[in-house]
Amino acid sequence: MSDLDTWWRDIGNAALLGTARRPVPPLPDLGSAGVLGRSGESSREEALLDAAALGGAAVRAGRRLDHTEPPGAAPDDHRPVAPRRAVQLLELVMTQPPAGAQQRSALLAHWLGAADDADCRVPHALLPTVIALATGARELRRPAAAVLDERGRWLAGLRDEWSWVADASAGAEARTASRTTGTAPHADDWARLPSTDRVSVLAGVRAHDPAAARDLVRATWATDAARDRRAHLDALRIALGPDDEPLLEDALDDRAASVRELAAELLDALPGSARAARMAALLRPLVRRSGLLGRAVEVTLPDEPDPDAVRDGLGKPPPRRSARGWWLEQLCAGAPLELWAELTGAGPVATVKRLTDAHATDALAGIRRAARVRRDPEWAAALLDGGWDPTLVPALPRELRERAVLRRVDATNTKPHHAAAVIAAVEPPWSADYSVALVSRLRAAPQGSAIVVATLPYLVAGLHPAALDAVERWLESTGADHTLTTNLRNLLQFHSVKRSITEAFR
Amino acid sequence: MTRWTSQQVAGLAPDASSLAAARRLARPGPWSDTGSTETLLWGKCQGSGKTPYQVSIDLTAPAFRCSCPSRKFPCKHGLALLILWVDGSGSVAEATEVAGFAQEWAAERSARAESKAAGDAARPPRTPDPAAAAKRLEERLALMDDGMDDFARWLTDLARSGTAAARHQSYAWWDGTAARLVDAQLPGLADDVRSVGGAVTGRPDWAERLLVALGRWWTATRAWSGRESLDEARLGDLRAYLGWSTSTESVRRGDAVTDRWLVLGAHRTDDGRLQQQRTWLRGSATGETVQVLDFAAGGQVLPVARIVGSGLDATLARYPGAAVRRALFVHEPTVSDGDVRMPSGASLEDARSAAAETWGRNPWARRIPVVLSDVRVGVDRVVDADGASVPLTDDADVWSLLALTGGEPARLFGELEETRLRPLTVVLDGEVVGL
Repeated sequence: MSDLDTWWRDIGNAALLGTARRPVPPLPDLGSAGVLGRSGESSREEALLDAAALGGAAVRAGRRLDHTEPPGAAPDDHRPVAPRRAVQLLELVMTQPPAGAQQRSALLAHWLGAADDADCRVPHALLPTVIALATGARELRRPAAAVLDERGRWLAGLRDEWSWVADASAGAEARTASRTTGTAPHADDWARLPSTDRVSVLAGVRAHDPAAARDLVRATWATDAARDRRAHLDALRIALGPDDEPLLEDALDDRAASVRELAAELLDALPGSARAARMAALLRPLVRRSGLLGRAVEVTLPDEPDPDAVRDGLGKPPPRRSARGWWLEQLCAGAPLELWAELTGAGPVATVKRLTDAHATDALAGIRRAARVRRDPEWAAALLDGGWDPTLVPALPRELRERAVLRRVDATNTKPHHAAAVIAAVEPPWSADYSVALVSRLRAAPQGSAIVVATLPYLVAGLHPAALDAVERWLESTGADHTLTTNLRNLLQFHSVKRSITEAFR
Repeated sequence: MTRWTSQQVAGLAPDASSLAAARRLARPGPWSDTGSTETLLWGKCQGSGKTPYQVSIDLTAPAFRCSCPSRKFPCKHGLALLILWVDGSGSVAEATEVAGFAQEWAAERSARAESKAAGDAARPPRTPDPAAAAKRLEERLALMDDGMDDFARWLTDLARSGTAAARHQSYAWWDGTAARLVDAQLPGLADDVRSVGGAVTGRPDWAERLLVALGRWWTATRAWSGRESLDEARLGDLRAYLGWSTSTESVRRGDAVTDRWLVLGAHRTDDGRLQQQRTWLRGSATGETVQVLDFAAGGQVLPVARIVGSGLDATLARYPGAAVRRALFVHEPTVSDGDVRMPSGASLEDARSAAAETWGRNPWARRIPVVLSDVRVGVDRVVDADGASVPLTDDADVWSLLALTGGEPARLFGELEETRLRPLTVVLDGEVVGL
């Protein structure tokens, strides 16, 4: 410690206690600076203040700089930056979301997805904002992680709140590969992926190469936790086919009830399977024709199932259900639907009409499930004739599906929330004709603004661009209805920005 | 003229709601008769009324004119037109012929600028009654003398009883001292006392901070009592510290420099009471860096920010002072089309020496402008090529800086404040980016 340091410390101590209690140490030799203390008499207080002035100036001017290791630099990015126009749209969406704040996430997700598809990255200047937004909105994390590139990952690694980026990115690469090219990861890599990402990788591979995805599930089946086994099995819903039967048969013997139940549920979708034949064998004696002309159908409830039947899904019923009713439903859901023609001698429409006795509800519930998972259009149409069930709509061919929904919208257009639930039955994106027809029906509805408010989320997600002209015309005629005007304008804005984003990446 | 970035447009907005409104308007629908040249941008915007608003923008200043009744400046129409122009999607095309209303305005502007220049030159300096002015000055000096004597006594009392005792005083005690300084027409000194008084209770390094502040205040009282011996520059710096303002008219008449000025960087603060905008400018011929300060209180709006990295041909009048001088624009500057470059920058050690030299000339300088070369940005500090480092101020936008530089060496412009650096501008591959 130099003389000057010692002196400055002593001055500090004297200042703390005050000159009434402490003397002021004399000024040391300040060397070449040639600064001298004041000549002549001065009080202790003045001496202390003089010293503070000199010392403060010396410390400020003479303070040495710290030396530290430079921080590590970010690796080079792999992707080119998004096009200029796209970057402007990203800024717009983040700082001033068009179409209202509720739609920001959807637009941002669309931007991030479009950037990933175009193999682009977020520009460096916008990384902090994108990461911060995705930190607050979980659904944006995966799409964001895919386009942050090296700079973004490096940046996020420097801040604790952003640590999710590292995990999300590890999965993002494998996901990108599986989604765009269907490339299955090597079995070792698959085993090391975090479970949250394995499901989406599996989904990607499954869409391109079902057998490769099944092999992945098999590869770690013995060591995966029950929760993961169930999640992986669930991913096989995509492109489920007869080839999956052996794996599902094995899964019927799984240790975990949740896996066994799911295996049975998936087997419901395979009417050609051995299990379906077993279910048919159990169902056949329970159904018989009656009445003078043999046009009525009587259904008997099954008795206590044997262990094989329990294995096939005739287990404990859900709460507040009769066990035998549940078993009947399970049998109807698992057996081939063709069995009914054999048992009743009638087609689907007639069969549904003839199932009227006390146990018909349980039987129909099972048939409904079978039609739904097998996407059987004939049975779905027959069941829909008997009553509205949105879950059956997807089983109809597109044209019938849209027609059924439009009919239903007409029937419910005085009840906006019912109409919204009906519209939700057709998955986005919608066809051009359907979108146009739907807009004209909504416009004809008696409570325009209420129905638009209720259905806006679906219109935002599903509407085909071809219907936007119709929305524009509607907007021109809304008059003084402020709510309607705002919502329609937001809808238009959303779609126009979304389209601009897509175009900006071309 | 290259089109701006949307960030630059956002920087011009008087507040967030104007920008929001502008973004909603920035679609081709309501606009007609739009066009742009090198220097002008114009268009008509259909509002709620029958006649569309006429919007004209001088891109060089930048300056705005709109026929709408909004009191915001620039209004949403001006901002919206800029946004449309910036996005480059063709809604505002380059035009060879300027629309009538924009042409008229541009002509008015240039005529006004000329007549103002002519008027400034021709008008004799206003000479109020010299006797009355002298009397006012005498009264003010007497008030300040008394205030300084009072403050010196307060300082010696504090030295006698000790800083530990002062730390246990309530904030009202500091505030009372500051209020007396305000009454004695020493508002700058009062602000310093308030800010130190607010910091002593909370900070771990309070003892040295207070000791250094005592030294600074004591220096001010000594300098004041010896002011007869100070030259104009040193007196100017002392006046600025004490808060004795210099009238802009006398500054205008004084020390003017015409140069091509590079906008090095800018910083805005808002303490809820007063908004301040600091713009740092560097003369390309003189190499001197000056600051232009703008203030806005209450409902006022700060003038439009200058574009960082651009060059301005302007005459600046400098306030009296020795180092880190304040200046004001004598005339509205024109954007220079000539080449202006960021200076190459120095190492931290050189910057520190330059700062020490500056403090030697002006002990009151709070912020020293520095251009640093090859510094790497870390989470809380910057490190130069020699490994020397300086911590960043708490308000530094470190995440943007990290995202932009990626830990690679870059040139930075910033303010050295005591021992910390507030980065304001970064140069990346020759592109100047304001933070």
